[in-house]
Amino acid sequence: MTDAVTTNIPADRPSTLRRWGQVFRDLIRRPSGAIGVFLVAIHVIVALISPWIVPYDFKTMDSAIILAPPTAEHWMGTDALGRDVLTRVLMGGREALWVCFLAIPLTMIWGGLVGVYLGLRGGWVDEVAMRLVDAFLALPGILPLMVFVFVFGAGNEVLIPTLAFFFGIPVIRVARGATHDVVARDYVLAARARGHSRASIMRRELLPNTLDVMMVEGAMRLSWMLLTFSSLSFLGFGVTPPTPDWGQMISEARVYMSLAPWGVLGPMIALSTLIIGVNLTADALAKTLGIDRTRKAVV
Amino acid sequence: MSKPIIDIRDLSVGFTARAGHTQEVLKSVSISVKAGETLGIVGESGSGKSTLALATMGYMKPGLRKLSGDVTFEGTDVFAQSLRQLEGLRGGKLGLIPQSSGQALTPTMRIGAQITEALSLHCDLPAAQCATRAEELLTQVRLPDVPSIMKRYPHELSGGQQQRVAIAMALAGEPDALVLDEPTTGLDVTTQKQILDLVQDLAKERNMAMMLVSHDLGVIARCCNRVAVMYYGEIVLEGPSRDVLSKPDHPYAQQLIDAVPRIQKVTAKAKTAAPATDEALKLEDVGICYHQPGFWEKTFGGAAPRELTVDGIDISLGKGQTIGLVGESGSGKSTILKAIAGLLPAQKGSIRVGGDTVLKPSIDRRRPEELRRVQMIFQNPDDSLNPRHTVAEILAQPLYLYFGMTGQKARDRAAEMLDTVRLTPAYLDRLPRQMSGGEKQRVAIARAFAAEPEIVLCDEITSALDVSVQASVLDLLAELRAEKQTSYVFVGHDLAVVQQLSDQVMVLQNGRIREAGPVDQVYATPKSDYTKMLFDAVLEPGA
Repeated sequence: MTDAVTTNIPADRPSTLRRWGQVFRDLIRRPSGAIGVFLVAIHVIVALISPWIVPYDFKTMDSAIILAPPTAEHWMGTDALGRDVLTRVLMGGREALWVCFLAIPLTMIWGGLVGVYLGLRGGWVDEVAMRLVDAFLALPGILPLMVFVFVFGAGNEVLIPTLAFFFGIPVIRVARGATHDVVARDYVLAARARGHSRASIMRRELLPNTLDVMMVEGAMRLSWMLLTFSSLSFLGFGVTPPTPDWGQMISEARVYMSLAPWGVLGPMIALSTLIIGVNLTADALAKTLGIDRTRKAVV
Repeated sequence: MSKPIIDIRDLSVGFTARAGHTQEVLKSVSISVKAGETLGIVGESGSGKSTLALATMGYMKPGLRKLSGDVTFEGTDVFAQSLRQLEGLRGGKLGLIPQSSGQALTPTMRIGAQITEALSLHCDLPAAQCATRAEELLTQVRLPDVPSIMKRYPHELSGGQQQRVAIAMALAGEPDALVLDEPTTGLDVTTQKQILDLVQDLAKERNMAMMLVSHDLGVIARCCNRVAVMYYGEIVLEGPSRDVLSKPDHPYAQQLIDAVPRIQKVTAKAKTAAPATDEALKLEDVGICYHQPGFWEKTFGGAAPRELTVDGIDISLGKGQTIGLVGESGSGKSTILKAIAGLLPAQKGSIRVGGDTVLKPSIDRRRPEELRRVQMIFQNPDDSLNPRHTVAEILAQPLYLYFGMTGQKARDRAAEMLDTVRLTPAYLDRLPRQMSGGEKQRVAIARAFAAEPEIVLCDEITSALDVSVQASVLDLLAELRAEKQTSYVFVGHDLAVVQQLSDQVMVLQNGRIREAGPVDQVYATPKSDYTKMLFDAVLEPGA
């Protein structure tokens, strides 16, 4: 006797790449996803081509037109040193995007691997590690970053690993939680009963099944990281002048806000649209993947 | 003839599929239930029986909508009612008893408060009388020590007690009709019998109309006057339960009823015990405790010795033989399997395979070759197959681990393994969600046999499957055993299934052996009272 129900789904191997292609198509079909992806894409494109499209050189100063209001020559006016604000706004996201786009994969890999390992390992190793994580989480977010940058300098070779390290700590917690959902499943028990090593169980059973949560987490962390990067620049710990950066531009123009509000407005709008874009994308991604962010405790 | 209480006419329910065309879940179903009558609805998963039961209450699962037809309850059209009127009806004159009432009860409310709330919604009783009435209801459902039960939270009750509370809540509105959606699925056989007896008594006392949905023909046979058999959204057969269950007049119904395993009547000497063969598995005085010593205790010692959850287990199993482990939930059946697999190290006793090799208690200290010889198949294939892996990848894992096979060689071998479980190589590239329950369980079996094991541990492996699929999976296991001389340790709650496959049987209660012996002997002349009680609780269609 054959099974009562036979499925007639064409047998195809949905490769990981094709699956994410499908996820992306579903993502941009949602209004929030479409807007989010559009905003992020605009920022990325501008960041890539801005050196060739900006009307002026970003460091050329002109003492004749200090804090000038918007004109036909300078669409967004000029700053306190007579530099073109539009030019600097267009180029001000390059550093932030470059640093964060490099740091986020590092963050997710180290935080994710450690979290998944701890979730599988359990026992006293997990206990001790999680208390360490708790201790790190008790520190106010930006303070340890400032200390690192102060000690080791503000170059990207310092910023990227530092950001990745500190942003990876809360990721450990999320990855560990996601692993706990999977570890209790019988296929993990079956792999253990066969005698697979921990590394093999992590690679074959756990990582593929926590990937969705990690992707959403990564997108969410990206927006936080962009904001943190700008905060560091705002406080003078990020990009070294004269390289333009939104956080730094806001910090400089803040003093003249009553005289020349356009100096603050430009970088502010740029930064907000990028952050909103990333957030919308992350939310739409979570919904597309069926992950209920309201139920997962995000630390 | 009295008028029917629930009357369903030409009801069609469906949803709009992706391509835009309408997919019907129920296809013009007509059925009615009169006062004092119990209608049973049977069918396999996906046949639409729960949809029908919920539609009776005017409820549709999200995405479903009524296409045509009416549902009338005591003369009122259920689907014409406003939500407010429906709320008055549901839980009032029309009660529902859901499948797992553990989830249907509010976890943060005491039992007494929940019943009182139900009463205040549906009866005009002053608050003071509500408490007394709640107590009456709980007594009516034969719960012991009612005042103490009223003060407890749902998680402090057993599954059977929770089900009784759910029944009491349904009775709070003085219902004329009850809809029971798989009311005893997930309960032990003995508890199941008690609940069904209770429901039947109540129906008789109150002259209620009842609609009982179940996939278990034994349950239906015990309780129902009339039976409707559902198949792909249609009622293919309906009639008095005796006629339907003994001489079904429809090929599908016939197939469904034939597939139900029944306990065979045997005399103690009907079948001589299988000739002694080489020893495959031997357990001597094994004791297991759920509490495993932690880091502190291992390092510093001094922990008080704990009572063993399972103790005194002796098993002696020959090549190609099967031992069945039966007992209620919590009796330690699965725990023993986990101890043999090493997932839960035994604290005491010895486990030996193949007559010579003594297995270390913990899996971490067993060698791959030892692990290969003992394989395990799990209850639910949805849970035991990684949803992200194709069948080829799933089968490749034991092949790589134990035989170092990779690439095309592993793929060829995986195709051979699929062939042994009667699946075609086309399945190699499927994901678990692209297969039916039975196909998935076959893949899980193929994965276990890919290791060429001597002992296969089967943990309730057919209980998540429909009866017809269950029959084919059991046949497959029997064939594989004959072919490869594999020994099975088979855990099951269905005594008929266990009998069908086993040579020996072991009855467990609270982690201790109550009775053990050749299957024919135990089934023909059970010695312990506990075994007799288990047999008494078995429900069979036509019995």
